[in-house]
Amino acid sequence: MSINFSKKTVVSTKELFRQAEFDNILKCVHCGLCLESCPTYRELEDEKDSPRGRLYLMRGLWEGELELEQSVIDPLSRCLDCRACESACPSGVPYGELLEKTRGIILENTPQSLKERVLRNLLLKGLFRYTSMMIVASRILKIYAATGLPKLITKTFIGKLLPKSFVFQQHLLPNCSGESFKRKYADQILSPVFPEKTLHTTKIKKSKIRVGLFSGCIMDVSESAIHESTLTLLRHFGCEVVVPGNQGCCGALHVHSGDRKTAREFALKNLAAFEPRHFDAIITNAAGCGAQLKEYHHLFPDETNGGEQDWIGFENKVIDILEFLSRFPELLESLSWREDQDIVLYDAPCHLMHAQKVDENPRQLLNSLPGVKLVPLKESSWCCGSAGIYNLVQPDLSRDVLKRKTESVRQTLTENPKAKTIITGNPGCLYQIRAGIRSENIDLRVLHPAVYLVERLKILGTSDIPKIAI
Amino acid sequence: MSFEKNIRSEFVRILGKEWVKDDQVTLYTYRCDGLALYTAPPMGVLFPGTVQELSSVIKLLNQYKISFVARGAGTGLSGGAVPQEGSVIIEMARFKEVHEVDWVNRTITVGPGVINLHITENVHSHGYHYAPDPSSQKACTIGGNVAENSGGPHTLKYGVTVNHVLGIEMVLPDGELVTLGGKHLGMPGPDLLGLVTGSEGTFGIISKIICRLTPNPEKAVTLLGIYTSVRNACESVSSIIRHGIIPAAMEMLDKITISAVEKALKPGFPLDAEAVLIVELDGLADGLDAEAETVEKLLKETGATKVNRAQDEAERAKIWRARKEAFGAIGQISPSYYVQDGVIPRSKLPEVLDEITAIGKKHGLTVANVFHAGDGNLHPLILYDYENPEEVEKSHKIGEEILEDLIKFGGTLSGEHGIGIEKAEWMSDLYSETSLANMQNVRVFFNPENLLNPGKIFPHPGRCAESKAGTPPPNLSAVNKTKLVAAKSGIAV
Repeated sequence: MSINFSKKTVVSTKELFRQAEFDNILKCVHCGLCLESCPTYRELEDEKDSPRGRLYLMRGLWEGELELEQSVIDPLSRCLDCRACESACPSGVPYGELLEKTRGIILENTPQSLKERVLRNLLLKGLFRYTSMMIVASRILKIYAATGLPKLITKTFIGKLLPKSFVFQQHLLPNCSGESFKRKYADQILSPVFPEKTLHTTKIKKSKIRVGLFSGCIMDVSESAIHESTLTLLRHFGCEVVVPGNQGCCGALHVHSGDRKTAREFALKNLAAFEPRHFDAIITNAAGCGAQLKEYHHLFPDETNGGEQDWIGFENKVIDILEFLSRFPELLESLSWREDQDIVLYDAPCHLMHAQKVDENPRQLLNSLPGVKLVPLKESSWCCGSAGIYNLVQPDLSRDVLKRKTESVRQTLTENPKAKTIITGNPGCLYQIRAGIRSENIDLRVLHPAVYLVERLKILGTSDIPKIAI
Repeated sequence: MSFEKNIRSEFVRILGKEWVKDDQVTLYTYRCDGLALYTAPPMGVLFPGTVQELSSVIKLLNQYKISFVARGAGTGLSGGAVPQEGSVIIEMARFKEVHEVDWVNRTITVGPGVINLHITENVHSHGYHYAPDPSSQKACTIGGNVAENSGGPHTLKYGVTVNHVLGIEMVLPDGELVTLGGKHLGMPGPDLLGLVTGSEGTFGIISKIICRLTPNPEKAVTLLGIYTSVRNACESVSSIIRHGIIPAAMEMLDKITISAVEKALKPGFPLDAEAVLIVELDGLADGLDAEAETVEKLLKETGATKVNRAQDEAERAKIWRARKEAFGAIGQISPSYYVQDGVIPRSKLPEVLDEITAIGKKHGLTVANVFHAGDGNLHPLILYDYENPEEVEKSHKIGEEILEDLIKFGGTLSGEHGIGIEKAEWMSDLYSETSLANMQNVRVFFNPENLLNPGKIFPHPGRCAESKAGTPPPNLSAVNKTKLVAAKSGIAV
């Protein structure tokens, strides 16, 4: 295979990989136990589209046996980066880290298609960087939704005349709020709802527990019920909450698609916004963002250019809202919850379960609510096909993967016909699963667990009950 | 190497464009299976979806005299699905159908691409399971299991694959479809089904399998004996068997393996123990606790410092995951390892294990042990660094010496991983020329032109059988015994 001398490739592929600290590739012993955990392998049944096959390609690049040619890049691009293979792997191969590094090398050293360049420059490098532009985009989409066009497209014959992927994107549209959550609360100290229940640290010098709430990019201007509910919960659990105004996008979408440079910039911005000394915890309610915030140090292999920062100190404070709340079972008990019976379905977001390795806590917490019976979906640990912007760049495969998810929703619902709600703790999954069940006319609400928890609270201490958008 | 244009278009006509692949990247990823030592790219990969398609492509391959090999999930550890001499790979992953579950005859009929564990998942809620449980069961296919006659921890009590397959449908190397066995037990005449099971994909390509279903035990008790010496743990095994108890499984992990699984999977094994012995008892609930007490007493008598009992299903699952994924976990503590597979008479366990440790010491490398103790089926794992040529050299010396030792103690070359390409050269150390010739005569009966999975099981050059049948043995790419561990790949499994 010949060397691709496109763009600025002067260093050999092997050299590029050697520079990227890629030794962990050796942890893969080619046993194949990952195969059945991989959604794309199950769809395509092809070794090169399995985790083992992709690792073998990465190893080939690292060893200099393969070059960065399109035929090698394609299967690597088809990976969802759901990291289910990491949970299946007995050898502890850090698959996500290796894939993300590989994609970084690919992006910097090979030409990109027009579609990719447009998506990258408009969305990832442009829009997500600027809150004011996100607000504008949110307002435009809000107006678009208000015109009723999306409904017209999805519910009437008009949809049949339009491309399938366009119709599906109408289902995917988030509920835009037209305003920024972090600007609304910027840098205020939001005190606990019940002063007598204020949480304190266990340190010698007792102080109130103060947490920072991470608001993200899309979530900052859409699905406002999720952030409002998270805030409500934290305040009911006795925390002081701060929503730093100068925080930004976590950069996960960038890392997944190889744009490590922009991600580094975002990492430094968020580190400055959430100065770890000031917070006892940094709360996320998006599994994908949480996983990224916990892995910022991957982006800084050297001690310079940001690598000298205390990333581990920062990462250790990052915690998912449900895992955080599950640390205070006595507080959960002291609050007053509704007691009517409800069966809810649960889908485990990949970046919570496989990347952050958090699975039992959220399920136990939800299950411990009075009257609530949590039923994990059949194949709950399976990716829904959302995977950041995967559903935009690989629409066909994404829809195949989603189909499997909606099928398991349908099956689980048949066995639990009383269920009215499905819960998932990641916005990307929420949009995707919602789009899937809407397009198949399944009658279920898709909620973030924080929203569901607030819904189950009988007595709210404040009057500002967040509106719940379904 | 790819398909010739005219042959390619014929494959496309049968299978459709999507299911005929011969691009360089596909060939690269299909050049090895679970044994990554010997790599050999196929000419192309075909993905038939029906038995008609399978038979048609085989007829075509036969017509053009192109050799071919079936592949499932590619988890095999002896190179059974590695294409020698540029064979075409026939990928059976699309044969995923569960055709029928027959509760009266207690059988399930499945396609060969069905994952071992999925068979059990299909019937578990009805109180049944499929008994052979190779450690790779969450990924390996039943077709591969039949080809390799796979075992697993629970085969101590329940038997291996050949005891759980009642019938198969198979396409012969000339494209003819045959059926062996059925839902009934027993067949008059020679046991052809038994012959095919374990023939490592050299007799035919299986397209349907009737598996026997086993009722789930009413209750299972899993004990974990903790030892300060491997020898004591071996004595416990002998003691249990001597007392007439056949546990469902008896598995041993030594100190090095314990440290690896603790790092990877955290099952809660004590890091200061020299060995742990997993003993699982199952059956009717009545009397099982009494039996467990007896076993516990025997373990303690033979030197277990402590015996833990899994308190619930979750704890039991944790112990078993640690055992089943122990090979992979070694990746945590060593950049490469080379796993041997051999069987010895159970009574020789303590001596052989001592010798294995001594062989490792002599060469200055670590040998970890995790194995089916109840069957005397050893899996020494030789740890080495693939980037260190000296260690690579040593690891294959150790592998050789261990095999020699196993044979010396009355054992054999493979317990369950098969001969494949890995141990083909060793067959002449175990069998006489006459025996080998007779075995190859059987192969010639099914596979007269050696088109199906050539270069496997028998030492190169193929001795006399092929010549007798009028077909000279093809010039196989030699598997050099001294190259047991290839320096380059280093992904020794």
